[in-house]
Amino acid sequence: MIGYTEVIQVMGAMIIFSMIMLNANQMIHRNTILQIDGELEQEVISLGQEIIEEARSKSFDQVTVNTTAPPTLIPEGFTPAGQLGADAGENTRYDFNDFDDYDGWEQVVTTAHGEFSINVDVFYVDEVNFERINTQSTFKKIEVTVISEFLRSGDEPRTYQLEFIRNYYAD
Amino acid sequence: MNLGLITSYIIAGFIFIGISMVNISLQSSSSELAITQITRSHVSNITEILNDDISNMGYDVDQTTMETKGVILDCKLPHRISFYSNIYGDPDSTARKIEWRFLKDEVLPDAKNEQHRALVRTVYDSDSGAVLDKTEIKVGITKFQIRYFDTVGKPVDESLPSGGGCSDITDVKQIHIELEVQSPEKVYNRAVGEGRYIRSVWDKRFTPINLNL
Repeated sequence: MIGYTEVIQVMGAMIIFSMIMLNANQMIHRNTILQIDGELEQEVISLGQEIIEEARSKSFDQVTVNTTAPPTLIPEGFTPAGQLGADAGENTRYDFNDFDDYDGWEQVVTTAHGEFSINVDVFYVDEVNFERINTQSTFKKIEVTVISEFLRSGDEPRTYQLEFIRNYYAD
Repeated sequence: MNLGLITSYIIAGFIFIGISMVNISLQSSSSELAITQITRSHVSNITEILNDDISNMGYDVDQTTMETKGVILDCKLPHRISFYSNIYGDPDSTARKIEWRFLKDEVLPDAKNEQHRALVRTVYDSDSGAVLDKTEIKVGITKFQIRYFDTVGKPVDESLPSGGGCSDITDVKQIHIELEVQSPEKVYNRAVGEGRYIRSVWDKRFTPINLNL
């Protein structure tokens, strides 16, 4: 057994060292994820705000495009809930002329931070509780969902959702 | 001295070197994270003002009387933009002219990172042209690129040509701004090598409501 005491001590030291290494690697990995997440989330917010700002600059509804007089019936005169989305001939973002044209719109945007997938949902909401409804109202809500393949929770991509509620009378 | 003891010393030496390397890596990683956070907070501070200024351009501007001064947008250049807006939201106050200018050709004499340039925000009296407020932002900005669009939603590479000077301001509907801030200090992998500056890039396409009425 002469000399084995030192070997056993060294083996113990190696086990402790391995544990330190594992913890250190975890910390470095976490730091790197924090850096990347922060930078990409900044881009996610910008892209979401970009779509919302753009949609806000359009008319509230197809029936209010280029008109000075309000529709005869409010809100019954607005586009039915089942027909929200791009109108005939509106194939790109350039063609959209009202707020709900963005409903169902999907795009993959390439930026300095990689590719981001954007999905938009527009629907009518209740005037009291702002919940989704299937009839016309003077409130429309836009939900912009942004996903990046580099922003993940476990194996699944993380979903970022930005929302905005627009009122016909507040335009 | 027996073989076991010698082997132990050798292994202990490796472990000591390993611990030192891990320590250096941890230090590099932590300092990189700290510098990243500082850089990003600079970006956040600048974009907060930009978000307010650009989105609200044209607010409380009487476009009838301001027509001779270029209505809302006064100047569109790749590194300079100026516009009119009542930045105080005060009905007793009048619209001011706000200018953002990136001094891309002027090297900052005391900057540790030679790519750093100043971004200047100036508020002018719209009648007399007197400077009311001037803020020189010197927090490591290395890029401030402005693109202009005549149609909303166009791809970034289809922007309007913007080298025509301050008179050509028609048809601008969207403004895309790209900002890059770099750290003054370099970070090094394992404390050796060339090192690199930490970058934080922000870009956003603005659709000012008053340019789209």
